[in-house]
Amino acid sequence: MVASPADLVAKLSSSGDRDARLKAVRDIKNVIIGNKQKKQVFVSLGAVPRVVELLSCDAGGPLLVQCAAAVGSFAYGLDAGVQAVLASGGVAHLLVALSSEDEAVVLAASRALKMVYQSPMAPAAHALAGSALTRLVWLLGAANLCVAEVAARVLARCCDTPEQQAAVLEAGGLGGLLALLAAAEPARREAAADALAALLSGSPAAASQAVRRAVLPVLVKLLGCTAVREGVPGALAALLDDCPALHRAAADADAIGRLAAFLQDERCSSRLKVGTLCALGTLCLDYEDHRRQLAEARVLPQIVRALDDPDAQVRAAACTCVRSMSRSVVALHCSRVGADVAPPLFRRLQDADLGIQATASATLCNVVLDTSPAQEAVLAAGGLATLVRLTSAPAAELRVNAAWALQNLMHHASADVRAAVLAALPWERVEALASDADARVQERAVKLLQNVFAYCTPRDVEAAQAWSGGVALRLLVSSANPAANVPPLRRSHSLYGLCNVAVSGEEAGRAAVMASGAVPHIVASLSDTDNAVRLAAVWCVIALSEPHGKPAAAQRVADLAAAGALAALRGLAEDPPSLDIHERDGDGGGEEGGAGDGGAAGEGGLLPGTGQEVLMRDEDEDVVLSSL
Amino acid sequence: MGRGEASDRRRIQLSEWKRKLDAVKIQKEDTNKLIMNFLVTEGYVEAAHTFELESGTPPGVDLGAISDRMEIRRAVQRGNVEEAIERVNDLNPEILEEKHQLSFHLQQQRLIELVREGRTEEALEFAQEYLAPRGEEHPAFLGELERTVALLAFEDARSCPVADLMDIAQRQKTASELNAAILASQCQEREPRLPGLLKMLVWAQDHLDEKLIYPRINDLVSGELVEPPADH
Amino acid sequence: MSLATSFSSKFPSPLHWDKQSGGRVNSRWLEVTDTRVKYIGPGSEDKDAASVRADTPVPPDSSVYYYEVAVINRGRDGFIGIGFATSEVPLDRLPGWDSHSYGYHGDDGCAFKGSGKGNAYGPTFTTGDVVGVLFDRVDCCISFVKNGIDLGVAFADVPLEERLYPCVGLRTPDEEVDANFGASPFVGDFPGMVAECRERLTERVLATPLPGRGKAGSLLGELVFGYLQHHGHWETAAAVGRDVLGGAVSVSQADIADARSRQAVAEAAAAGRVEEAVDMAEALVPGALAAQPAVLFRLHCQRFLELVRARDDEGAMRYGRSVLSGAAASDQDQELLQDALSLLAYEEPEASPCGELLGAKAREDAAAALSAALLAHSGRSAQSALERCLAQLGAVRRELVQLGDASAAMLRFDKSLPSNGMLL
Repeated sequence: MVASPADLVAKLSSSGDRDARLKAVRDIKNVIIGNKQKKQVFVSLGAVPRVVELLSCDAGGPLLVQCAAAVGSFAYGLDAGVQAVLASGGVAHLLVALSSEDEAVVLAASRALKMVYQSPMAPAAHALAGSALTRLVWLLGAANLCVAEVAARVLARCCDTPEQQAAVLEAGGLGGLLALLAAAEPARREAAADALAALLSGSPAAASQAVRRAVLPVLVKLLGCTAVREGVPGALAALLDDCPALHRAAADADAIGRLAAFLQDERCSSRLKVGTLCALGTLCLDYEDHRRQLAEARVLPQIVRALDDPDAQVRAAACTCVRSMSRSVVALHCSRVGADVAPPLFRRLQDADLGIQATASATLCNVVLDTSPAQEAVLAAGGLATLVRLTSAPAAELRVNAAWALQNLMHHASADVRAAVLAALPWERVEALASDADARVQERAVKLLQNVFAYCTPRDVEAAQAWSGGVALRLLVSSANPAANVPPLRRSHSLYGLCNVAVSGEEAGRAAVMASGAVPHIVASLSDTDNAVRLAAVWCVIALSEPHGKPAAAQRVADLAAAGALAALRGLAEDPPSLDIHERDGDGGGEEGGAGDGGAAGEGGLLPGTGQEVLMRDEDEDVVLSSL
Repeated sequence: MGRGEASDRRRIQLSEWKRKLDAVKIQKEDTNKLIMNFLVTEGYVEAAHTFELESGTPPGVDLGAISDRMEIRRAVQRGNVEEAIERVNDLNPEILEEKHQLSFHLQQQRLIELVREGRTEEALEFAQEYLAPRGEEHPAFLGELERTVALLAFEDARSCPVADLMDIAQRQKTASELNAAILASQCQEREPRLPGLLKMLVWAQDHLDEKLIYPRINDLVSGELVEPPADH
Repeated sequence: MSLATSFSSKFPSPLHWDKQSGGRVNSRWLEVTDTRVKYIGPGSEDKDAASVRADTPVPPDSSVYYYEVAVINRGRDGFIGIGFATSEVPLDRLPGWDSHSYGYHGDDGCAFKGSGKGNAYGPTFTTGDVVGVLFDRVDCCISFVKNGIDLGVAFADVPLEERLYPCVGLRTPDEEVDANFGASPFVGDFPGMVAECRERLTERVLATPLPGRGKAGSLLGELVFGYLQHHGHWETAAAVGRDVLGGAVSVSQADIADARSRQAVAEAAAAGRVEEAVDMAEALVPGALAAQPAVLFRLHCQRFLELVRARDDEGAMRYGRSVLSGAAASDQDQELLQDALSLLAYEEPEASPCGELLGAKAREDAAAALSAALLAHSGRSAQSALERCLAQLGAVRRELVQLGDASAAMLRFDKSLPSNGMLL
C-alpha cells in the first residue's frame, strides 16, 4: 500500500531528492488515474500546483513524463481538478513540454493537453502563440498517430476567434489537418474534422468554402458511424455555421434524420445533445423544408425536454434549436410546436443564464405570432407577467425581445388575449418603452401600440384609450411629427397606428384622430422624403375619408384639403415616387372601397435576419391591396 | 453458372487442380512475415526474437513495447495487479483513466489477490477505500462489487458461493481484458493476420462450391487436398 | 484503365452515350453528343420522355462501378432520371419505369425500380448538381451520390445476371446533362467508396467461423509449428511448441537429424555437386529417385549443365549421348533436353537464348525438386500445411475471379498479408 496522500504531497517538494520526488509523483499518478475520489483528495491537499511546479523546472525526462501524466489525470473528469490545473498555469508548461527533444515527454504532454482540452472549462488558446502553435501544427504530421490526433484535438480548441483561426492557418494547420482527415481510423478523422470545422467556422473566405465542402462528407459519414464520437455533431454545427450553401448538402445526406436519431436515444450524453441541437438549429436556420424535415423526425418532445435540461449548455442549445424552428410560419400554424414549447420557454425567461434568457425571449417573439394555441399557452403559463417584467430588464436585448413578443402577441389577437395583455401591461410600461434609451425598444413600443389598435372594434379602441388614460393617441401623434427628431420608420408606424385608430374606431375613432392634432403631421408626411412615411400618410388620408358619401366624411375631406392634403396628393400623382403610392392615391381620390374592415396595417414580424419579417409585411400589404 | 444443381457445376480433377496450385507462387519471405506477425501480435516475444535470428525476418515493431505488454499481462497472471497497474499507467495513462470497467476489474482483482494471500484486514481496508467509491460512481458495477466483497465474509474463500472469483481463470479474464485495451490504445492490430487468411480460405472455398466441383482442403491443420466425390 | 471500375477489367467500360440506343420513336427528341444529352422534344406528357444508354454495359467482372452525371440545365421541369437499365428496356420512358431499369429522378428525389411510382429516396437535384451512380456488385445494390455526398442505398438485391448499362432519361425541353464515365476526376470520392465496400466485405469474411481446433488445441499454433519445422527453423519451432502450444508438441532430435541430412543433399545439389547429391539421396531414402523419373531426369540434366558450365564440351557431349538422350520420358523432359543440348552450339552458352539454364536459379530448382522427391517418398509433403492452405486460397480466389465473382475480385488478400500482391 502506498503512503498516505498527505505524505505523498509533502514529498513532492520537501527534500531535494530527485528520486523521492519522482516516486511520489508516480505514486500519486497511479492512485488518481481513473479515481475521482482520490483526485478530489489530492486537489484539496494542494497537490496540483506542486506537480505543475515540478513540470516547470528542468527536471529531466522521466520526471516530466510522470508530472505531465499526473497533471492530465487531475484535469480529467473533475471540475475542481481542471480549475486547479488552469489556475496553476499547467497548460502553459505542458505547451512548453511539447517542444521537448524527448519523444516520451512530447507524448506525455500531448496526452495531458488532450485531457485538459476535453473539459469545456479549458481556456481558449490564449497561450497558443508562436512556437507552441507551430509545434502543435508540426505534431499533426507526427509518425505516432496518437500524437497527431491529440494535436488535432488541441488545435480544435484553439480556434475561438478569427485571430486564432488566422494564426493556425498561418502556421500551416490546414494542410496537416487535411492529411489527417484521410486517416483510416474514424477517431483520427473525427479529430481532424472537428479541428477543421473549428478552424473554418465563421470564415466566409472562398478557399474555406472549398475545404468545408471536402470536410462535410467526412463528418456526415461519421454521423452514421456506429461508434459515434460525441464531438461529431458539434463539429458539424461549427462547419455549417455561417455557410448556408452547405446546409442543403448536409440535409441532402440526411443529416437532419441522423441527428434527430441521436436525440431519440435515451443514452444521449449532454455533450452529444448540445452538438446535435446546435447542428439542428443551424440546419433549420434558413430553409423551410429543413424545418419540415425536423418536424417530421418526431423529436419535438425530446427538444422540449431539453429546454428544461439541468445542463445550461443543453438548455442554451435547445433554445437555439427551437428558435430556428420557430422561424417557420407554416410550422407554427400547422402544428402544436408553439403550444408545446411556450411553457418551457417561459421557464427559460427566468434562467440563470442571460444568454439563454435572450434566446428564449427571441424565440417567444416568433412562437406567439399569429398562433392562437401558442398564445393561449402563454396565458396559461402565466407568461404575460414574465414578459411584462422583462420589459424593464437591465439588458436592452431582453427589453427589445419582450416588447417584440408583446407586439406579436397583440397581432391579430383574440378578444381574450387582447384583454389579458392590456390587463397585464400597465400603460406606464409602454410609455417607458417609448422613451427607452435603446432606439430598438422605442420602435417596438410604437409597433406594439399600432397593433393595440389594429383588427379590433370601436369598443376595443375605446377600451385601449381608457387603458392609456386617454394619452395613447397623443403618444402616436407626437411620434408621427415630422418636425420632431424621430426616425422615419417609427414615424411611419405611428401614422399606421393613427390609421388603425381611424379604421377600427370607426366614426368615433376618425373624429378622435381629426381632433388629436394629427392632421398637420399627416399632410406634411404626404410629401416626406421617405417612401414608407408617404405611404403611411396616404393610408391615413384614405381611412379618414371613409365612408364615402357620408357628410361627416365629406367634412373630414374638406378639412384635410384645407390643410393642404389635396395639393400634396396631386403632387404625388404627378411625380409618383413609387407605383404603390400612385395607385392608392387614385383610390383615395374617391372610389368605393372596404378598407375599413381590417385593411389597416397591423405590425407583426418575426425577428430580423430571417427574411420573414419582410414576408409578413408583404402579406399585410397584400391584404390591403385586395380589399381596395 | 451457379444454378445450384450439382450436375451443372464443372468438375476439376486433382491433376488439373494441382497445376493451378503450382501456378500460385508463395514467397517464403511473405510467409515468414506472416509468421512474425502472428508471433508479435500474440505477444510471443521470445519466439519472435528467435525467429528473427533464424530466418532474418524483421519483427516490424519494437519488441520492447511488446515485452512491456507481455510483462503487464504476466503480472496480472501472477497476481501482481499493482505492478500491472503501474506499468499500464506508465505505458499510457489514458487507458485506465477512460476505461472505467477495466479499471474496476483490476481493482477487483487486487482485492481477490489480497484475499488469496490471507491479508483479510488489508483487503477490507482496500475495498472500502478503492472499490466502494467506484460502485457509487458507477452503479453498473455494484452487483460485481457485492459479489467480490462477499469473499471477505467467508472463512474459506475457496469454497464459498463466489469461489469462482478465486479461480486462475478470473486472472486470465482480467489479463485478457487489459491486454486488449493496451493493443487498442496502441492503434495496433488486435488480431494477427493468419486467422484472417484462414477465414478467407474457408469463405472462398464455400463460395466456389456454388460454381465448381474441385479438390478442397477440409482439414486446415493437415492442409490435405480432398478429391471431390465421383459423379453419380 | 477506366477510373470508373475498382480494378482494371478485361471487358470494355462505358465511354459515351450510344446515339443509336434511343427509343423507337422518341430518340429524335434527344440530341446526343458523346457524353452530353439534351432534350429537344415537345415534353408535354410522360409519353414524350426519352432515354439513352451508354455504349457498353457495366463490365461484368467489376466489383464496384461508378459514373457521374452533371446537370447542365434542369430545363423546363427538371424531369431528369439517372440510373441503369438493361438493353431490353425500351427507351421511351425515364429510367426506373420498366422492369430491369433503375432510376433516381431530379424533380421529386424519388427512386424508381420497375414502376411508374417511385419511393421517397433523396433530395431533388437540379442545374449545377452532380449526381453519382454507384453499382456495388459485391453487396448487389445501387446507391446515388449528390455533389459528393452519399445518399445511401436506393436499390437493394439487384440481380447480378442483369447486364446493366448506365442510362439517363429526359422529359421536358432544354433539359441537358453531361456524363463522366471516368475520363475526368469524379466529384465523389470513388476510391473511398471502393474502400468502404471492401471493408464491409472483409468484415463479413472475417466473421466466418474457423473450423475446430487442431490436435494440440490451437489451429494457428500447429500450422505455425509445422511451417517452422518444415523449413528447419528449429529454435523457433521449439519456442512455439513450448509457448504457443503449451508443450503439447516438441521438436524431436530424429526430425532435426533427418531434416539436416535432407538439407545437406539439397545444398550439394544447389552447389552443383549433382553426382554427390544423387548418391547422398539414394543413401538417405533408397528408391526415392527411381520412383520419380522426372526428378531423376532433371538431375541428369543438371549434371549435363554443370559440365557445360565448366566448359567441358567433350564430357558434356559424351554424357548427353550416353545418359541423357535415352532418359527423356515426357514431353516436358524432351523440351528441357533440347534446350540443354542447344547450349553446345554456342561459344558463349551463358549468353545464348537458353543461357539461364546455367544460372543459380536452375541449380536451386533442381535442388528443390530433389528435396521434394525425398519428402514425398518418405510420405511427407513438399510444402507445409500452412503453405498448402495459402496456395489453395490463391487458387480458389483466382478461380472465383475468372468466373466473374465480384466479391473475390474485391477481396484484398494482400491487405491481410504482410507484403503486397503476394497472391494477386
